Amino acid sequence: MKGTKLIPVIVLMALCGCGRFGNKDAKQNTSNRIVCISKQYNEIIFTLGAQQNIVGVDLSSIYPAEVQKLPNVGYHRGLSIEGILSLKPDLVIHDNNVGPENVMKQIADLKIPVKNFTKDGDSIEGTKALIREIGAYFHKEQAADSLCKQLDSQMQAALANAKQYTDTPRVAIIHFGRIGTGQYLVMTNHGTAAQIIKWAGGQPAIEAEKGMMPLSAEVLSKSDPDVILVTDFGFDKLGSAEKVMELPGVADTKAAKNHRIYRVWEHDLVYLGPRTGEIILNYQKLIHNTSNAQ
Amino acid sequence: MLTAQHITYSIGEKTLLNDVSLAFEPGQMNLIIGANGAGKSTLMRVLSGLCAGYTGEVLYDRRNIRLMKENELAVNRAVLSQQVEVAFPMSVGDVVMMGRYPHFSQMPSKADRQICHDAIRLFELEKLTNRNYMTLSGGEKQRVHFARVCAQIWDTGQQACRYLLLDEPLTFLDIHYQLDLMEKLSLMLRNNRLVVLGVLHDLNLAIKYAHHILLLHEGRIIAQGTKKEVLTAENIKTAFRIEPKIVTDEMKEIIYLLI
Amino acid sequence: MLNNRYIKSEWLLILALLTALLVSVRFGAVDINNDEIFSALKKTFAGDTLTLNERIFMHIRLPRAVLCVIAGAALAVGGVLMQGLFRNPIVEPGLVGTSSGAAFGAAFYFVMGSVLKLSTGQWTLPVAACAGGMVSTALVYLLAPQGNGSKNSAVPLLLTGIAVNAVFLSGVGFLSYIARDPQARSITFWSLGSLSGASWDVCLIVAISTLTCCLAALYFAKQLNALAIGEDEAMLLGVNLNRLKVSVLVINVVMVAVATAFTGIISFVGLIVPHLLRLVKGADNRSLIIHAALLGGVVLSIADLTARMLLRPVELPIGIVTSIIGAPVFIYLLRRKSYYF
Repeated sequence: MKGTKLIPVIVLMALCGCGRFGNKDAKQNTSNRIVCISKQYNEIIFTLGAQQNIVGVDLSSIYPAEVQKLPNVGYHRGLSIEGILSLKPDLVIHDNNVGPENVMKQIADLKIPVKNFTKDGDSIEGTKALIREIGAYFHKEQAADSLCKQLDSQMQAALANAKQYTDTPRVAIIHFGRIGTGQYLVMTNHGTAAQIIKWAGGQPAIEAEKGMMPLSAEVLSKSDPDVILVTDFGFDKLGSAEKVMELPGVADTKAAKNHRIYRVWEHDLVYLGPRTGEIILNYQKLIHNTSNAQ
Repeated sequence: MLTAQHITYSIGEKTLLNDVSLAFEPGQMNLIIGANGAGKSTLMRVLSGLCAGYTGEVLYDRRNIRLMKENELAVNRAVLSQQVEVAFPMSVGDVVMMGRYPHFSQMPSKADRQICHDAIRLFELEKLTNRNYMTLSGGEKQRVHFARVCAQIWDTGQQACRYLLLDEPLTFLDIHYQLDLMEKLSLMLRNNRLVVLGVLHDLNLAIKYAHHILLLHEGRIIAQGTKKEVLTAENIKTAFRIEPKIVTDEMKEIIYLLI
Repeated sequence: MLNNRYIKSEWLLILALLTALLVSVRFGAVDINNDEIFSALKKTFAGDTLTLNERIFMHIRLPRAVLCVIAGAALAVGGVLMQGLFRNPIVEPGLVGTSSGAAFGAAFYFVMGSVLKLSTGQWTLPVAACAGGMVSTALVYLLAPQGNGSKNSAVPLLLTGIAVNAVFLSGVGFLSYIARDPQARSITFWSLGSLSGASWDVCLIVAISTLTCCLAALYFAKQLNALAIGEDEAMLLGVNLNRLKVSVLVINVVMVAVATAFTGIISFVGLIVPHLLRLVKGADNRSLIIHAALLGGVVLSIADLTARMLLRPVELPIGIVTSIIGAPVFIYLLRRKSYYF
């Protein structure tokens, strides 16, 4: 009786031990208070279990859910230096997508270290390199390694799974930013969202020069997508798929007529990360006409 | 003395003043009369130096005003315009003090303040000194501007000749103040070094006070001189298209026009 | 209160300004206590090394508070000048092209900076914004038809200003449209205004421009007063109108463009402060300029404090704070019964 009860406890302790094991290593970085201003970095850090010294994040870092419990220094392009400093960081990490320009310079002038990771997480290979770089920095090399392997296998599974679908649906993604011009935007054939759609076996419906463009009736009717995905913030602002159909040009599309308007999480689409493989699998189910599955 | 020689002023096709020549002596009441559109206000603008686009010369004591800078003109010459629009609320005292602006560069001197005080007293505005100009009646506002222009060319004994130009100054005043003002002007004219020139609509007031009259019609002078010379039945008919009864006294001086 | 004859209103405002300065310096997202403030000041003058909090105080908080005061003065005095020049109390200092030009300059830097390989030093953005503001105003002046001696020759300037504003603002819109996402965000945030770029260098530059322009403005105060009774009347009182217009425009554009270059666009301060002072103190521009310089600093300091503290550690753009408070205040002022129109 004692024996059987002991086993789960030992397993639990071992698991906890694994977590603390990483801590007991002499860390490459000795920072105790880190403010990290990048949604991609934060997701990776939290997934690797390296988040114990993160004391502050930016407004756009929302995944995983624990991230949102941390103090928030504001929108990453409208940062406040005293706001960051009020969290008493001894290191600030960002991904070069921050503003206003003077903030990082002022922080550096105060002799607080500022760091970027060098690997560019815009492709799967790049993301894996980034995961390894972050893993090395926080001394979670093992976790990084297994995460990369997991990402690889999930990507392979996803791509293999794609073969079962015969159709290539045209997918339009409508986005409403948290802080922006007040307009709904469509994500185009450039950028991470487009990549994910392609991996999912779909075809980005909107072609343009930039990664995003303002939504207009013309843009949508020219592309006539089979499926429309609306990111969470915007979808929730509107309330329902019916309300989405009231946006300019939506009602006339094949997607609207076949009721193929779905809500998706923004953070799944805008950067590649540990869960991308999983995400692609989900999207495949979402966008393909399931009657086409074999 | 204020002289003008061969003033012609046109805007586009329209000729507003056509070969106007005149001479106004100091110490006498010079009045310009004429129908609406005759060119009286335009003539006033040219004579005051506000307009530049005319041909001919305007001379203040033989000095061509075209060669004089704004401030040089302003220390000796004051103009009371037909309508003054004050954009912001300010006190009566502040408005009158503006008359002294040509005389000091940044802050008014004690003499400037005394002159303003005297001007305000002259026009019976003491009780209104600190009142908001915007709250005054039309007549009171007119008197404030009178005080201002008088303060501008107040006799300090240092000027050569001063010029006071008044464009329909009696518009908002009741009969008491109309007469009061004309009396004050007559008093001021006792000083020989002041040229007063005014535009009046009221022919009878003109008759009562003018020494020298200039009758304008369609941009030309059709008569200038004494009342007898100018206010003939023919001239009045040409200029005003009316035929009043001219009332003269024993000396054949015109004293009244019955309309 | 400002009309109390026992206490000169200038002293009252100086007191208010010092209080506002003290409060903005004492409070912020980072907790800095009084001891640290005193020791920061002492150590700086003694040449000792400072702790982190002391450095935050001396290099971030204090210059920012000082910039608030100076920029607030610049905007408010600019408002006095423009309202005097146009004989209209509903005029902002940035109206004659300066604000929209500065926004265009900033947007141009954000979007075309890398394409044109512009230097990414800390002065390129302010120089671009300042240049934009000055070019825009110069354009308004050159394009506006000269008044034909009528009483309202400032109106063509105003209307041309509206047209030029429209052109430059659509330029900003176009640049936002072709911009990549991060650049578009930069444009948005810059346009909402922020005092966060304050450093001692910036304070020095803005102080020099604001002080010289305010002194120059005082010189023209009397002539602006004369303008209040009409352009003709001003001329008859000895004012050279053209010289006055050009001088006032130049003083205003230099003062406002330089301030805007470092703070972005902050609305309402230049509109409300002179307006309010005119209701209370009368229309003498000399007095207005002095009071506006002080009250502008107070208002901007309070606005910045609110922007920094309301949602700390997040900071609101200051333009939002001044608009949210400024608009209702403006409407209230318009509706006062004793208003002159």
